[in-house]
Amino acid sequence: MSQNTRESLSALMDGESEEFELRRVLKSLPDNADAADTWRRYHLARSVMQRELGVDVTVDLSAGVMARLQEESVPLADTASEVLKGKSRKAPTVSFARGAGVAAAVSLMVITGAQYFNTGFDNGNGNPAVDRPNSVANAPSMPANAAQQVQPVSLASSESSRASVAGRNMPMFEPTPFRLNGQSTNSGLMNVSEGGFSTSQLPPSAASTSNVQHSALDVEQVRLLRSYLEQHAHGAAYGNSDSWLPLTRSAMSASSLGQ
Amino acid sequence: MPQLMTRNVFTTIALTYALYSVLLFAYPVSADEPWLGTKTLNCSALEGQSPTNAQQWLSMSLWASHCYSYQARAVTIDESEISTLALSHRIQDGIRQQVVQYLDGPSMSIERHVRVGHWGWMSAPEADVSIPTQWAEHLGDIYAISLEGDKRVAGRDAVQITFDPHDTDRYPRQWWLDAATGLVLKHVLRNTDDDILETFQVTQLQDPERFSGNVDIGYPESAPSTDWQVNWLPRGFQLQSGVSRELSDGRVQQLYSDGLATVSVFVEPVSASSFLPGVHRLGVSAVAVERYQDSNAVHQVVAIGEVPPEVLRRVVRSVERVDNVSE
Repeated sequence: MSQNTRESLSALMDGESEEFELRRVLKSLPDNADAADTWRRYHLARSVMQRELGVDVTVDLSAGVMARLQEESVPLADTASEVLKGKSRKAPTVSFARGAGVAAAVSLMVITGAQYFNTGFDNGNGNPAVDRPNSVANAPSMPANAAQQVQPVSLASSESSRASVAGRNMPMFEPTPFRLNGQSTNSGLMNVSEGGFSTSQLPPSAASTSNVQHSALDVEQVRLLRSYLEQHAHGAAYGNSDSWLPLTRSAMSASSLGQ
Repeated sequence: MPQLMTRNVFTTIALTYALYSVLLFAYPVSADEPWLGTKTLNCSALEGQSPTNAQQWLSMSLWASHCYSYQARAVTIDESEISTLALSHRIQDGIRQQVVQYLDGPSMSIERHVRVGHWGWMSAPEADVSIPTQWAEHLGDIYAISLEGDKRVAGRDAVQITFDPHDTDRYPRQWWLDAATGLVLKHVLRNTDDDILETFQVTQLQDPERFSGNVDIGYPESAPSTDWQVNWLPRGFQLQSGVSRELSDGRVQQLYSDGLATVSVFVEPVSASSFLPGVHRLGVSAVAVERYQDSNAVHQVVAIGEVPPEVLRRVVRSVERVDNVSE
């Protein structure tokens, strides 16, 4: 992807691009295998820095969302929430779906382990281990609650997490290179569907699943496979002293499935 | 010639050490384990611990994974790729926050939040033995575990623990534990032919800081009852009730573990997007899919885990429907 496209994407996100420019970039995206990825990651970065609560996504939705965008153009809120409904999380608001949220959801996986243990554990004294009434402890409604209780913590610990702070507090982490801006009102995704993402190149991983036996996996199946991998990895991270390796496997499922 | 002699001496020492540790391992866990039978752990109990056998090291490493805040740089290497990572582990308000940031390619992060002191592992609940100790003992039944000292990883003194399974239903692996803290510095997973499948290695560990408060230990309740039963699993795999759950869409996840390797079994109604039956491989993970017909519907059973694919196939074929499980 050219520097030019990258800058255009960045401007697009910040709401600084002209409509003409917008169309040009969006049209060029299908020829740009990794531009779509970059687009999502830019949104991720912004969401993290703005501490958007809506991005606590435990399942990678990109393939499914994009496949649907391919078919339908507008009512994004409906489409997205249909996709999301099954993923045991609260339905997104319209602005979440239309704005950066859906895109941002793709690259950040916040794994709220509490969703397992809020229901499954007590502290050994017969008391619930969490400061929440046990009566809410029916599994399907948990993740939303858990997400509220254990909010996604951005890379910085302070309330206003800005890139500079993140860099300072976390010397091992790279300061996020993206510009910060207010919430964009661009509904970029709507235009993207117009540009026509080709599913064959969209989830970058879809093309790379060829070493999966019975390789006739369509986008929907890749999405499904990812959701299994992630759910498995999250569970596997509990078992022993090394929770890092399972975690990185869950990322593999998002970034380079099948490789 | 002197070189040869040196090597011989070294081999002898290593062998003796390995034997010694196996011998030690055969003894029951020493009663002076500071966390024996406690419901809370003060992480300061980790101070000055000097484990002498593999089991004590393992037990300490499980505690340590809940007791230290630190940052690290690490790499993962699998069959196709090397990734550099920044890691952060923090303990705040009883929550472990783990962040993995990918330093190659476009910026990507994963966060995981989980309560401190909650382990997925549970075998037979015994009040007087801590979960880490139960876990370490269980591993000793499944794997031949050997300990070697005087290793060095990421500039830190380390001990190496080798898990050699007694059967071919799971993969061998090795851990290198930080001698000062017990944290896992390196993890190598091999296949049954002893080729390396996956490596995780810390390259720099920065400021491990022990959590000063108490850690409350969580005990899993029973798993949600399901209509499905897995009739065959490799020896030592036990249902991890704390991480088994009913997901939406009628999908049920049951997680089984032998203490190191894990297998998830998902059962759900077949939908338009379901997989075709078969075995798939995804990096080190394998996925096996079967379908079952009952009077009402067709169900899909998916097993996924880091075990040999044929093992998963056998697991998934052993699943059957049971009636009235809980009544």
